[in-house]
Amino acid sequence: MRMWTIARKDLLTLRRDRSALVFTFGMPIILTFVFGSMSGGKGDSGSVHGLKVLVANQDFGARGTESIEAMEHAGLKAIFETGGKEAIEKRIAKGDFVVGVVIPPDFSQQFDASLTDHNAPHAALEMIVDPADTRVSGMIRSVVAGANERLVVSSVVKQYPDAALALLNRPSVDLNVLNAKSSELTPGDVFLPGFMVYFVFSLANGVAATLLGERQEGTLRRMLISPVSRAQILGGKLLARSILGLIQTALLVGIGVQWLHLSVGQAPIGILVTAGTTIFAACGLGMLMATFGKTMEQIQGMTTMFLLLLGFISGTLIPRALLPDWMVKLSYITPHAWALNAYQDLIQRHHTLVSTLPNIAVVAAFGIVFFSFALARFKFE
Amino acid sequence: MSSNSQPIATVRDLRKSYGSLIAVDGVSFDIQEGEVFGLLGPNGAGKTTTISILSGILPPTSGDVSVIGLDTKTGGAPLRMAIGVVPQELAIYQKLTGRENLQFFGELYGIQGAALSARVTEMLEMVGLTERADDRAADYSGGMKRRLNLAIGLMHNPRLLLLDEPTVGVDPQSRNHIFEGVRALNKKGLTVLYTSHYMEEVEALCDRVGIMDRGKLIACDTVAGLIASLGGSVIEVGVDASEKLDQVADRLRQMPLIKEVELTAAESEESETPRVTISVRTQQPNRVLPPLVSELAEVQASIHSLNVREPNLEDVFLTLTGKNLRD
Ligand SMILES: Nc1ncnc2c1ncn2[C@@H]1O[C@H](COP(=O)(O)OP(=O)(O)OP(=O)(O)O)[C@@H](O)[C@H]1O
Ligand SMILES: [Mg+2]
Repeated sequence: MRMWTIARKDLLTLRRDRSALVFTFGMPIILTFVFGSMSGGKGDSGSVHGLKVLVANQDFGARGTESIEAMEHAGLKAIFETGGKEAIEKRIAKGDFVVGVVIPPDFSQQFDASLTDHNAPHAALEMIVDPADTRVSGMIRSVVAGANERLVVSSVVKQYPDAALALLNRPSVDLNVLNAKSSELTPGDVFLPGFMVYFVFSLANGVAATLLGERQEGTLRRMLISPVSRAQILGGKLLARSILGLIQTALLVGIGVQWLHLSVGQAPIGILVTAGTTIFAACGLGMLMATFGKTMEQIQGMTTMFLLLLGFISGTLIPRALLPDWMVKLSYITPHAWALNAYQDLIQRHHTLVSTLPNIAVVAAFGIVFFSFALARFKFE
Repeated sequence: MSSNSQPIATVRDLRKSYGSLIAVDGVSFDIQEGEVFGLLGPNGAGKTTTISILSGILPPTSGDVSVIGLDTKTGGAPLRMAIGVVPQELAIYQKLTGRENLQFFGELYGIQGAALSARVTEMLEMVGLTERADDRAADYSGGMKRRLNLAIGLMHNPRLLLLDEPTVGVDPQSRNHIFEGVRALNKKGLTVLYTSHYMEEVEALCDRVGIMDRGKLIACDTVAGLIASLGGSVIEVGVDASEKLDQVADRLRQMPLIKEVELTAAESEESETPRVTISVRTQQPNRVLPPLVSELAEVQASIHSLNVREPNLEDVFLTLTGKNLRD
């Protein structure tokens, strides 16, 4: 009851704080529309130079190796995986790689057969992509296809100069993308989860500001003098921020569904749980940040930079696939990365809430750690 | 008011240190139910610290402090309900209106519904903010903010009100509002601990006064008792400022009948030359006046005014602490 009194007062105060409102709701909405219109073209532009592709070469002949050489020539970096398709699938599911290629045992045989016999089945490569990463994996897909095309042409030209012209118009290596669902990902699916995480974490600044502000203004002391406990005061403040965070997430999801074809799928409850946990961790981070200064002015610059930095290294502002390898690993020191995993599981991979619970648990653990440190360090007086 | 009633608060051998700094150093006093107890002291004397400990949010380093018979460290909700605090620094929500501020703090004390709005109306009336009730506190004048600050502390109808310099930096109109409000509440039975730098307020309002300096309570008595302990009279002479006055003061201090000599710059509207008031405290003004006048004549000081009066709290304060209250 008293907690709600405090939450209501905080919300009322926030409603009258124009800059906070713009920051909490305006910015995410505007950026969503900007990004939404940018990736609307769904273009496969951009460079894939140096991007890693997991390759399992099971081919008995030489064509497999040639195919890999062609891919490397096109700028991709082949990382060999001897564990076959399953191993590749596992590593991609873990998020270490975005694309894998399996070259089947009969690749050389079929390839050569199709060069001479027009009716023979095409040689085929199997491709496994991370559904959460259409942009990059899409680009790689065209590069792999192109590389193999060149391989075909050069082989034909080398061996059967007269047949070359006839073959040029048809592909001789098929690229079978195994988890083809990925191609249905919409722009909303691709960048909104990152936004939903990043902007909720930017609530941390507000949490720090309200705690330090109330302490500085003496109103925190006034509350402490009244018959309410510290837990109620904190609870009330966090409740207000949670409501704010939920509205923010709901707005982003709403815009996503309405204009960016975001696929919420069977996940509304999962999204709610993820949002709630993320808000919890963000509030904990905010309270922890509040222990690093006496006034908000002292720490404002630092915290804003810090939150932005977290946004970049966590992959919430830049797709993780575009990050160098070490940064992808590094991203998991941020709570953002785990929350993003959860959203991507729910929205892009159509996983169930239960299967992504481990990610959510990590986010919750971050929150608990933040709060433990913050409560030990924060001076109410 | 009456001096033979129960103490509502007792402070016993209270100490509070911040590292090596001792903010409150062995202070003991009682506050009687129904009285206005004044706490006077120069900056840094430890008044606010004492009030914070009484209100239960600052733990003492040692000593016992209890209010309505409950230890402030463990008193819990009943203790908190009994105490109202008006902090020295404004503690209001600038973005909320006066009414919303009062409602919020009222609700924290468990007041709800019709009782809440009635109490809010009553408090707004008392501090004269009814007309501005629905404006944001940020738009209030300094004095209006102070009045709101006071009203918040009174919302839950406490038995003991701790007022920490409620009129500091306030226009006369607001000061009057606050002052009269406190006096009226005291008449209705509210016990008040009042700290102020304004001597007239304390003299007019307080039944008893404790004087603090450097963490110690150096005197504690009724206003009359404190003045009587000083005794004698104060002679005040207004003269044109001159470098020689310091020598005059030094010579006066040598005289056995004179207890204290002080020079203060005096504001004057009619003259352009700066003026100085020489205050001399003595048990025997009749015998001190002639030599005082002749000393002044010797340095050709032109006398503008001469006044013999009873000592006041200001003199008590000066004598005890060596400091002026309003430095
Ligand atoms: N939180 C704190 N940390 C360290 N020192 C403190 C703290 N609070 C007060 N002090 C010190 O304790 C002493 C007493 O301070 P206090 O605020 O009680 O004085 P005061 O009598 O209220 O003065 P004023 O008339 O200026 O309000 C001062 O020297 C002050 O610097
Ligand atoms: Mg003070």
